[in-house]
Amino acid sequence: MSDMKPTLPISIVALLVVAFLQVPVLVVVLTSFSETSYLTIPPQGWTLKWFAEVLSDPVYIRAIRNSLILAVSSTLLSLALGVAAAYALFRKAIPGSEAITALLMAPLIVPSVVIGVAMLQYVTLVGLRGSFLVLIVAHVVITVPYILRSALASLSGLDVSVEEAARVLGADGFTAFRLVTLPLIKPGLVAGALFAFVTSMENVPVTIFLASARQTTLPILIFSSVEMGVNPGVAAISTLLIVATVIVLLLAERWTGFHKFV
Amino acid sequence: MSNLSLRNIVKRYGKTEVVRNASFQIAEGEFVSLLGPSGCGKTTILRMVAGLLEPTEGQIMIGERDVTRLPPNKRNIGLVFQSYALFPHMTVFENVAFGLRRKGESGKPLEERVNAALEMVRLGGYGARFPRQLSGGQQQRVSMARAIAPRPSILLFDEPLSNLDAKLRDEMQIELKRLQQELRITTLFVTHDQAEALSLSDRVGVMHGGVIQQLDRPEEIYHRPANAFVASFIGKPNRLQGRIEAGTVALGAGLALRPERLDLPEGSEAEVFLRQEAIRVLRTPEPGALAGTVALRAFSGPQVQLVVRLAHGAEIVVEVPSAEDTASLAPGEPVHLAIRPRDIIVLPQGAAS
Repeated sequence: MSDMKPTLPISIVALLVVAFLQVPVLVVVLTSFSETSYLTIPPQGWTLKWFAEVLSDPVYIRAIRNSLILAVSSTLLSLALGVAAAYALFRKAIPGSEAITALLMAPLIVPSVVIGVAMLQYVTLVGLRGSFLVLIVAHVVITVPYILRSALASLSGLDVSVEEAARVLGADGFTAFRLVTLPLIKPGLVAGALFAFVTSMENVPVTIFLASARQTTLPILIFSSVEMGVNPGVAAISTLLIVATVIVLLLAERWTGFHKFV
Repeated sequence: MSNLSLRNIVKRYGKTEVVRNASFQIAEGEFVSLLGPSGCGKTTILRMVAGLLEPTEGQIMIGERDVTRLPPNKRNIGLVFQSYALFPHMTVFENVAFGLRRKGESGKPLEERVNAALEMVRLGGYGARFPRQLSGGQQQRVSMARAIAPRPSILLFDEPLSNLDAKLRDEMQIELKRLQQELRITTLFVTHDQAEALSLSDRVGVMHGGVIQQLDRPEEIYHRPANAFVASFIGKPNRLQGRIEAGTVALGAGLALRPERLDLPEGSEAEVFLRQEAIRVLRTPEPGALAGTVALRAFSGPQVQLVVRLAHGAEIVVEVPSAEDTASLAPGEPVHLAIRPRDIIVLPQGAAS
């Protein structure tokens, strides 16, 4: 962006900060290869047995599956709802659109625990407690802000007349949106969807109130395993998560160049 | 191709009337401009014709079809935007093909028509490029090709040249005129640039405050403005006060102008509009010429502007070609200003504008 090169002291400070922030990640990755049954640095010996153990444990497998189903479905739902909401809020002069935007963005500010407790009371009241659908809805609530924010930002960067041009050229409203507006805001949406996906994947405070034993997600499982005592199995599953995240980010970056929108 | 007619079109936002009772007709193949300062309602009218805005009252007809409540995609209109509004994620070819594809064209005929449209704006061979790889002028030409390719019955231009620099604007003006003459498409052109409107149009509508003040041939607009707004908006007029006396406009201190036509009653107050470029500067007196002294002189290349103070104190700005002998007149020198009777525009004092 800027042509200014940072001075040497600033570069050093920046590197130190980045290093400090990345050390925990490094620790987790290293310990997951340790032969010992407790966490140690540096790792004692090299083994992949913890990965094998975790990936053959039906409890972990089910948690991973639950998390993926939950994250994928809530991200897709959030995309559909968030994009529609952003479009309506941005393009049409809806009365109280500011208030609606603030309301939809609120889960970013309201503590997740509060949302979790509130959702639990609510679903108990309406008798839907324990339903997987409730879990999906809850995750939509907490992931929609990310989609909405990136969609609104992308839309505001768009020349309104581009979609009008499509309309005048014979495209109905939906076709104009599909062929012109959607492709143009796609990079922003991918960025938002990634945030939404990761948010859903790692969420504990909301999920823990709503998930029944069979619906345990990966972060909940990691959370409760750590309560029992940290073992390299937890480190192994965490390493897998880190690797998966990096791969997804790289693919998304190549696909859309979305870094401009984060 | 068809004619376009607006009947008693009103557009209101709350209590503000942006367009007040606009009625006019554009004949088949005719080129009409709406000219006016920003906020005069000209773009609002264009957007209502395009279907991007709905009129509060009135009726819009394209040929025999009432399109007032039709969405833009059902109107068969071509629109060229000020911002070009090209689809940045599509090639030039796909941009131009967009409207044709919506009409179900495909394959060889589609390709031929897209290429023909690009050929018309002299961008043959540019089909594979993306808009961002083109200059501003080229982008605007693509947007014209895109608008004409589906053979619209009406072509609309929303200040299409105002984003271009002055030199390119002149070139594009000629290009546009050529294109319109080849195609003979009914055209509504919106601009705030009077030279553009006057040189391109069959008729010009001058707008102010949501009202079309005058809709007429460019020559009429220029030489016979209907009211004080049109007279002061078009060209670079000098505005003088006077009184009708014995078939002349008396300015005071014995100065008088004798216009070709005078419809005002004897003794009434009048306003006189004299265009800078319609005044001849003389060193020696001539019957009917106004006597004065040069007060200021400004050289601007092809022209010299002289501010002349008349005997009764009012000042008049005059444009003299630099090549003329009188261009060297210096402040303090006496001059005489001769104006042809047909160039003297007289309008009633205080008329609504």
